Amino acid sequence: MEEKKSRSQFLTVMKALSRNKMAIVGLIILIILVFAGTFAHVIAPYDYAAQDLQNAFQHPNAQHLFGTDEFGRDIFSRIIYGARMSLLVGFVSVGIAVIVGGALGAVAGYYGKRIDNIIMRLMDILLAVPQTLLAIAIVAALGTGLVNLMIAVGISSVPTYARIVRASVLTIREEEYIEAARASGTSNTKIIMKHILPNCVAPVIVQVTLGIASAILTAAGMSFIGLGIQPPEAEWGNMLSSGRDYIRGYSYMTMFPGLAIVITVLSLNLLGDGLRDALDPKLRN
Amino acid sequence: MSNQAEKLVEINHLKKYFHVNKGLLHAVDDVSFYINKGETLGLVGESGCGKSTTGRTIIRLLEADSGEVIFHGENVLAFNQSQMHTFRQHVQMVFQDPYSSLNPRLSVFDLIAEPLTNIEEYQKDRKKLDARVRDLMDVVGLSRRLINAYPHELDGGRRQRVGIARALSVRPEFIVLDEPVSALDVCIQAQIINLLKRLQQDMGLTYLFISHDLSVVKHISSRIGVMYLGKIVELSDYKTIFANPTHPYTQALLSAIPIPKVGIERHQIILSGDVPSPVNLPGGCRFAGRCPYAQERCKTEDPELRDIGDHHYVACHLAEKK
Amino acid sequence: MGNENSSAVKLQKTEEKNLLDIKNLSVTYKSEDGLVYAVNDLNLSIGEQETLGFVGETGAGKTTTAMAIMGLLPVPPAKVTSGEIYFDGKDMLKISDKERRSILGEKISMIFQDPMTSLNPSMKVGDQIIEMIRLHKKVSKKEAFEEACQLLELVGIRRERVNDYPHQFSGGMKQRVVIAIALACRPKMIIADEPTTALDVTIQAQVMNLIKQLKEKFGTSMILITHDLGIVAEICDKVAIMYAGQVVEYADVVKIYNNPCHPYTKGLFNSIPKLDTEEEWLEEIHGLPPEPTERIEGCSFSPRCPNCMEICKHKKPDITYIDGEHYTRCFLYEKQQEEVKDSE
Repeated sequence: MEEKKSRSQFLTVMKALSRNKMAIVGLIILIILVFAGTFAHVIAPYDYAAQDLQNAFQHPNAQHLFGTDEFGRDIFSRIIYGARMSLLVGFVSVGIAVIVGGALGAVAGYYGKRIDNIIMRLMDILLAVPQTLLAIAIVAALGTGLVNLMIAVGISSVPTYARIVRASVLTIREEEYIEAARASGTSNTKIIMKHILPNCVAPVIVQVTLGIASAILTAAGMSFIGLGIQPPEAEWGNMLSSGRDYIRGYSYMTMFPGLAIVITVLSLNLLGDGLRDALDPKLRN
Repeated sequence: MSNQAEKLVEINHLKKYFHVNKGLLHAVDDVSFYINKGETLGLVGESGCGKSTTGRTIIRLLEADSGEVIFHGENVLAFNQSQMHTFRQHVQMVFQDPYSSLNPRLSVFDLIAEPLTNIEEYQKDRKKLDARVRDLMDVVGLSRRLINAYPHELDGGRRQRVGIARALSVRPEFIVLDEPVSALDVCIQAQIINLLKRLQQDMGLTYLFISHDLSVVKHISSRIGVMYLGKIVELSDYKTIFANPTHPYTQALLSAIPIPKVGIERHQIILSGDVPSPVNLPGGCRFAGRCPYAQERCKTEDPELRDIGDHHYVACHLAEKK
Repeated sequence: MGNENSSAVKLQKTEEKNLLDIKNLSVTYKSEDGLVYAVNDLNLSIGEQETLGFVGETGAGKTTTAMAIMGLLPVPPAKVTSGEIYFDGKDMLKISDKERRSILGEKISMIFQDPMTSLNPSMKVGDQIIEMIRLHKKVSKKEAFEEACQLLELVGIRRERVNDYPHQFSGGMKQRVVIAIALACRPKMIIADEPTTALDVTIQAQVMNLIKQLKEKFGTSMILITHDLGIVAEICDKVAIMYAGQVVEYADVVKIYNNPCHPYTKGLFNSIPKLDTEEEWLEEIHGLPPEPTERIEGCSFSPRCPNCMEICKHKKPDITYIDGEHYTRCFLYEKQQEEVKDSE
């Protein structure tokens, strides 16, 4: 019965989503990207780090679809491996942000008063610093690298999730069915787990899709300025960065990673907008 | 006081105030009454008179500021957590709005089973839980095919049946019904009222029936209390309230109800003014400002709820003893 | 004027001119679950200075009909599939948007159910009245202001409060402001959609009393949409009982209360808890109204009807006149009439 239940809700959302064509386009692109990222080692025609100096600076051709860079590495393969990196950074850092921010927000919203005040003022302080600047500061403190980048991007978007979860907890806490659950003798923990959190999921999911897009952008930006993932690892941001020296003669070196970022972010935003509408029961009924 | 019937619930000097920006809101201000086993006490009044707050305070969904609620000889307001856990299995509540009182993400089965999942014997035995839920659906007249339906797929009447089944699930003795039919259409309302009456007869339930609709209250209650601005102004058996309303507010309330008949001549008392805000109350009788019979005394002295004979309680200086 | 009484319906000729004539109106809504038949073949008329009570349960099509009259149906998903609505000689379904805007507010105005949401919270009540006046009349701001003050006094609000905001008024007072706005242009007809449902019973009595007085003073026609048969008895001249998008019974108020004919009307009356009689059980109409997307073959009330006959399940009942204007859609009476004819 449980299984049937969750499926039926999933189906209603999917049905509502399917009416939004742009969201479906976004979803399809995203699925392709995830697929490409996951199976990069199978799909990519070359190794992302394999140098072939004889074939450096090749314009796009049959052998190298997107051409090669200054070390003769296949840009197409690097873009595919880059998808893996970007999506990994996006998902993991947003995952960190959701878990930390969600827990803080739920605690703040449910217990209220002083705890709420302390947590939310801390979040306000974090929000006062621009997200990229904050991430730079964290990387500067922790050092560069994939893990540190994810932590930095994750922490810098914690306040967003704390606020969203807190706001929904505050509204849902006042719902009559929470009172009804209390009247029937349900414990506080059970009320949070069964009634409050599931009803917070919708706004969080929407924010997650949009948040992954902005995390990818931040990560690319960080790599671009050399604070993120370091070469020779393939990442769209550092590909842009190394390509910019040759932008006059070999513009494809920056164009392809740039396009990859644009398409990924765009597809996530389209999906996020679609989900926002699909998850809103008011719009659905 | 009547001693033949056993008192199930007794409320003494219950007070509940809320701190609001403008001052202290007297939601429930020194309210006392009792409910006999197996009877229905109707609590009527207009919005903001504190009737819902009274109901919620009795079952401790809100914490009272002072007073006591005696249930089976024990003061509920002094119960600790584990005592409350048992108490919640004897006392249940049905809410006004069947649209917002049911979690939209739970199925009918989960909704009805929720109070039961707090009881050990059902936690262990899934089959027993299943059987009990199906049983309850039959009792309240919900078709079994709806067991996996979600609230938004049900109409108001069916949702309220789910709400009632939930309340009945733990076999309570006492149910607080907070405007259970006011969100429903007349025809559905009649179905639900009849259902509530039948359940009471079959199971020996005791009800506190809160409503703004006197005709509904009259139909279901054995005794009726009329509330105005946090106080009970008149309390008596339903026949007396309708045949011999004594408090001017009760009289006005009765005469304001539109009667679905044509050609009847009746004197309608149309009260002037609005209900004053329960924040910063005027001294003296709370009704004095709108009362057609108000005298000097009413503006300074707050009348006590007193028995004018035959357990007919009225809080008015002008009410005379029978 | 263009009153075409020759249409498919045999409307009884009345001496007075009808202000509003609805003929064979059908409205559908497109929804996810299929087509919703909100209003089905509805016929109604309202004379000058007449008040019509429009009674029915949620989803019976009351509000849809009102919206159709004003041409405010959301198209799509709503669609008027057939019918004509003549107001003051004009077909409201055929006129241009510009013409409609000049009629709405000036000749037809509306009072909504919830006074809390039908006023703009960020605008002074006086300005909201002035806006309405100046929309339809070429008067100076000063004149409009003076008129707004007078209107407020008319509905029992002190003129000093003209510069207050809606949140400074109680629910009953807000509804008075809404009434003042509705009356601003002295309309020929007011559509009141459950005007007192959100109010307490003593306040409801005040507001209904006010509506009654003002209606008589200005000779306004009114459609009162409500589910409360008590209010209808107090204020209406004619009553239309709606069920599943159709008027199942129509008569003047005395006839309908003293001689309800349609089984649904009877059931509706019986299911109200009475104040003046003792009864152990309320009489119920069993079952539920049909789902909006459900198309019932035969009479739409037949699945719940205690007097359901074989014919009811297969054929839709036509209008049968009982007595003068009093009509119902029920085979019970159609049969009786045929018997009468046969014996003649």
